[in-house]
Amino acid sequence: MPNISHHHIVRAWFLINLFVCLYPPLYWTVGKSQAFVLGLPASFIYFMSISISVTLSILYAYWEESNSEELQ
Amino acid sequence: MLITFAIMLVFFAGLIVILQRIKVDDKSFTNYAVGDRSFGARYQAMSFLNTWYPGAMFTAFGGMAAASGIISFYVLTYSLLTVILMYLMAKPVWTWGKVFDLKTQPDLFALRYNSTHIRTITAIIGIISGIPWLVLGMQALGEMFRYISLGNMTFTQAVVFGVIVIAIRQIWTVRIGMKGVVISDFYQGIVAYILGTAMLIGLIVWLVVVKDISFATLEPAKLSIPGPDSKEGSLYLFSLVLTGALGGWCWPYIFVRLFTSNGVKSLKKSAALAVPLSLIFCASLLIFGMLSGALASVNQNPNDVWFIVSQEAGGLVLLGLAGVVLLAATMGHIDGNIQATGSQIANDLIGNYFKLNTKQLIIFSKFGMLLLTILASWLSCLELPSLFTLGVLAYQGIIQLAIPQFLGIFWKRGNKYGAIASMSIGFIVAVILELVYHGNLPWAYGLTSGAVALVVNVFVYVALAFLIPQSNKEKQRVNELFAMVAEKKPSQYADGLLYEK
Repeated sequence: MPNISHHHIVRAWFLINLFVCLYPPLYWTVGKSQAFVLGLPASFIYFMSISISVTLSILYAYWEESNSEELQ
Repeated sequence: MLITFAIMLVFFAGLIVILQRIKVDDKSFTNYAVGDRSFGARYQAMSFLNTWYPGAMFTAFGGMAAASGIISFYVLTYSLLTVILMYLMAKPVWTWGKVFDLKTQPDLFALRYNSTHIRTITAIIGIISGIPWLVLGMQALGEMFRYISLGNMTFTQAVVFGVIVIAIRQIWTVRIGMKGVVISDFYQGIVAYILGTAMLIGLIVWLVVVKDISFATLEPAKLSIPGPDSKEGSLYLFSLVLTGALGGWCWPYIFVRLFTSNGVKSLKKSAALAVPLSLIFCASLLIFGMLSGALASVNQNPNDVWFIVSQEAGGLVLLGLAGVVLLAATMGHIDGNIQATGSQIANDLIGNYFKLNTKQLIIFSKFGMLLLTILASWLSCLELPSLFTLGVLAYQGIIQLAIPQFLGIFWKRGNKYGAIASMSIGFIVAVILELVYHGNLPWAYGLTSGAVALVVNVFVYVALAFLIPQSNKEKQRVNELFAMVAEKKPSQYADGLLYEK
């Protein structure tokens, strides 16, 4: 059972990544904002956040699959 | 000039030593075309990066970041999303590649759709679309040599010199084949993306500390993303990211990376190794480009940002290293392109209609690479003002392979009629839209011609999948293909299932 839940997490994470990278109203909202957080513009934070999320999802997927001995 | 060229020479000499140590092995075409599927995760990761990020990253995308700002980050988004695709495709593509001894992307199309003609069509689209980018890569090298010669070379002299250097490099690509490409990618990748990233981070620190540049000092326009009120259109970013992520795996020289790995585990591990490197390298390059855009010297020539800032910050030594980094990245792309095209000429064009033995396949492959090198070298020395437009057009065209490729891998129902019709119609629609609207479709809300054509493409593919059902025999064959991917140990199919080659 734990493997199934891990698989679901990976799939859901990949789908969420796809959504946040491609959903236009999301980047329209961010793109309009001129706000700065800790000296960083909102649009930069948006791109870096989705990039880090994609990176972590792939690392998690590999970690999960190699632990479950599914990869031969 | 002596300093910059001496640094180049040291890098090139190191590369030649590595290539000379590789044993030439012509025992099978599989060895020549995909390196006997023998490479582990580290080689795979670096080989993927070295083919994915060409030298033009430092000029075209560095320049875009300097001139246009944050929108350039779309390249980071799609470059990472494409690794998810790599992760998802790894098992089916590698398994079918191993079991059926597939060597090229058209081989996979022929297997999945049980058609010989689809192999030819896919190969022709891939080869034709790749040529403009090969020529652009060679010309970018010329631009680089012009810069590091400190103005002592004219543009024509620099292009000819760059072509000679890259043509000499191809001697080893032709001689050794894929093993030479992957092993040299490792060396070139370390130089381009490890040394390159270290330089980029150092230059960002220099821009912030010495030049006092930060995001807050940039023009607000450079920090905004095109939305509904922009001239680019509301779906512009969506279109760039979608076509970039899907299109990357349609290039034959990228796709063949899936066949060079020694297993699914290595392939997935290579994705896990490549993705953080890709994130750090690409993000550093774009941040560097954006901040450099505030320099007056860069404003006038944004595409030269890599050389201008390197020279300003570190003099001739750093300029020489900047040249080496760009050369290493460019070589990885050009080698991969030429090698994959040579394999396709032998395997998918000539070998598709004539029975060739191993020796003949390798000879035709080498001959094809030689011809392509000569053709691209000659074209690079000509004045071709519309080449970049052709390159963009080629991209809109090649992404039409995405629908039959990805749906074919993940959906059992698609058939050869849908695959051939969808990519052919999609290709024609993309070309017509591009020719009529020149890359700017006023009614498409920012969608590119390739993205609009993809909609037509997917409609044709799905419609024909339902209108022309597979025969029972074909259905069973496709079911068996998918069943072997679902197995935990697909190696049990080592003898392979037959299909019409």
